[in-house]
Order: sequence, then structure tokens, then C-alpha cells
Amino acid sequence: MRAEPAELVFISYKHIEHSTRVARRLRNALEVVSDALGFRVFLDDEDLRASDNWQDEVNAALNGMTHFIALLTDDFWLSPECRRELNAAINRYEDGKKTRLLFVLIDDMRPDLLSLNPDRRAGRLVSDDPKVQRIGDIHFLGPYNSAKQLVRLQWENEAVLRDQIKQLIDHFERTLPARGH
Amino acid sequence: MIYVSWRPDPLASEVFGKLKARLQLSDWDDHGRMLMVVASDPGQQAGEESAAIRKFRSEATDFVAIFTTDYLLHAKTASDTDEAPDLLYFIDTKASAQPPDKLTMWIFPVEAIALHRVSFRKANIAHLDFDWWHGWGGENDRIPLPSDTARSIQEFNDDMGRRIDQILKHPDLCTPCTHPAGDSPDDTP
Repeated sequence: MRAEPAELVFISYKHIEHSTRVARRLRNALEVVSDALGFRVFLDDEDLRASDNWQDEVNAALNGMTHFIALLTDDFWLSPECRRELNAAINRYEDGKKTRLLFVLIDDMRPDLLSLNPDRRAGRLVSDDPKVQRIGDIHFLGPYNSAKQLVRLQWENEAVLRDQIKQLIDHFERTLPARGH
Repeated sequence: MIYVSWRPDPLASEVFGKLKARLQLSDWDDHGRMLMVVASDPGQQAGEESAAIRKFRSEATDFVAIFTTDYLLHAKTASDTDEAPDLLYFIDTKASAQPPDKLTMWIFPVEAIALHRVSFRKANIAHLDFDWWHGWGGENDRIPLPSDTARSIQEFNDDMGRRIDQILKHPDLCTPCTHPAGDSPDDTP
């Protein structure tokens, strides 16, 4: 019997309609390639929340994750639970556990404003969290347009969304350790 | 016997609907062979109906898989049950030491799929990147799905027409289909 892969991908998202839909899509797309690329996926979804110990399972995943994928929306940034998960990822990163911090843009936001002032305005990604302001190794998986500019996921367009998720998987694969053949 | 396997969703339904309608226009393919089409959606059909359709697997000459993420994910999760999902059944049959004389494997990609990244560990399939697939144009290949513009609808119809024609025109003797399991096809120029 083969051992479970060491790599664990934690998908963090705000449980609102569009980001939940994207989270499930991304989880499914990752699951399809997980055997070949050698990782596991954790998503805090309705099935998990039906269990008595879902919070323990979330915490266990936070303590074991190697990749943290944040689905960025304004609501994500304002959610205490999402920020708790993000802080857990940053703590692991700072503790040298080599957790990769990966962001995906769901809403139309300005990632270049990530570390600016705490005055929040619509369409701006801002943080007054000094930890977040210090992190320089946040990697945006995408999506990117043909001019290689970061854009938001077109979650309202099913065909485009599927193409963009394929692009996210392409970029995610590059963050995995090289595998011997 | 064309065995079409799919999982319904709005985009896959567009492809399946066009494929079924086009194939049902013809009673015969371009080589005079009688056409029979069976559609399999194990996730939707009731148990008895699904079992009845699976009986046609052994008679199929063409396996058409309408590829979406959900289709592949279902094949992965369903492989835990006693009954092998369509995809794994046909791969196992095609890759066996004595594959059927005539079994052509087709992909209709609703989504772009990198076959080398898809594996089924429990079924001991390391990847799907087999040389006997037909209708797959590489990892960025996907059917251009129609939107509400006349041009996109025309592109979809043209693309589907081209892919379905490949099935109808497919010869009995096709090197990637007939080369022995494990040997590379010797059809390079």
C-alpha cells in the first residue's frame, strides 16, 4: 500500500455563493491531477461541516498544509475565519515550514495594494495586518490574461472559468517539488 | 456500436446533444457499417438502467468519452466501487494483452485536459497519455463552446462536425488502433 502524499493543499475561501462555486471547481480539478502530481487537497465544505469534528479537521489540515490557496474576495479579507486561516499559513511560512502562499483573484481587486493603508475601499485589497504587509513570497496563481496581467476569475462564464482553472492548475504544478520518474 | 460516456453539465450537454443528434441522422457510417449509439451516464441512471447499458460495453467498436473535470473525478471516485466506471473499463480493455480487434477510443474535450497529469492510482493507471486516443489535439485542445453569438455557434457546429466526421470516416485499419499493446505505432514518416 502506497503512503499518502506529503504535500497537502489547503483551499481557503469565504463561504459565499460565487467563491464557494469556484472553490469546489478548483478542488475537483486538483483532485483529478492529485494522484499524478502527488498531493492531497483539503476543502472545508458542507460535507465536512456536517461532521461533529469539522473544526478539528480544519485545524489538523492547517497544521499539516504545504500549500495554502486563498481565493481572494473582499469578503475573504473581512472574514475572521479566513484571516485566521491566512494567519496560520503565514505563521507556518515564517516558522520555516515552507508553506507556499498562493492567491487566486476571484473579485476585481487590486493586489498591488495589498500592503497599503487600512482604509478599505471597494475593489481594493488592503490590510492593516503587519504580517501580511511583510510577506514578500505571496504568489498569485492567477488567472492571467493573454498580456500576462493578473485578472479576476470569470466565474459567471462557465467556459472561460474552466479555461482559467486549467491555467491555475498549470501554475500550481510549478509550485510542487520536482518528482523523480 | 458507438458507446458514448459522459457526465451531464450545461457545457457537456451541448456537446452530447450535438453528437447524439448528428449520429442519429445516419443509420450507416462512411464505410457502410450500421450505426448504433448507446449513451452511458452512470451517475444519473438508475441502477438497473445503468447495468443494462453497461452490457453493451463488450460490443462497442467506438468508445467516446466526453471529457470534463467532473467526468474524470467521477471515474476516480467510482473506481472504489465494485463496478468499474466506463473510462477505466475501456482503458483496461484497450490496454490489455489481447485488445479487441476493433475498438477505437475517442476523446471529446469539453475542457482542456492534460492527459499526462491524470492518473488513477487505485486502478494502477499512471497516466492517460496513451497513443491510441483519437480526437485529442493536445492539452490545450477543447471544443469551442457556443455562446449567444452566431459566429460562436457556427464555430461550435463546424468543430463538432469535424470531430464527428472523424468517427464516421474512421477506417477499420488504423495504426494507432491496431498496433499490439505496448508497441509504439510505426506510422511515423
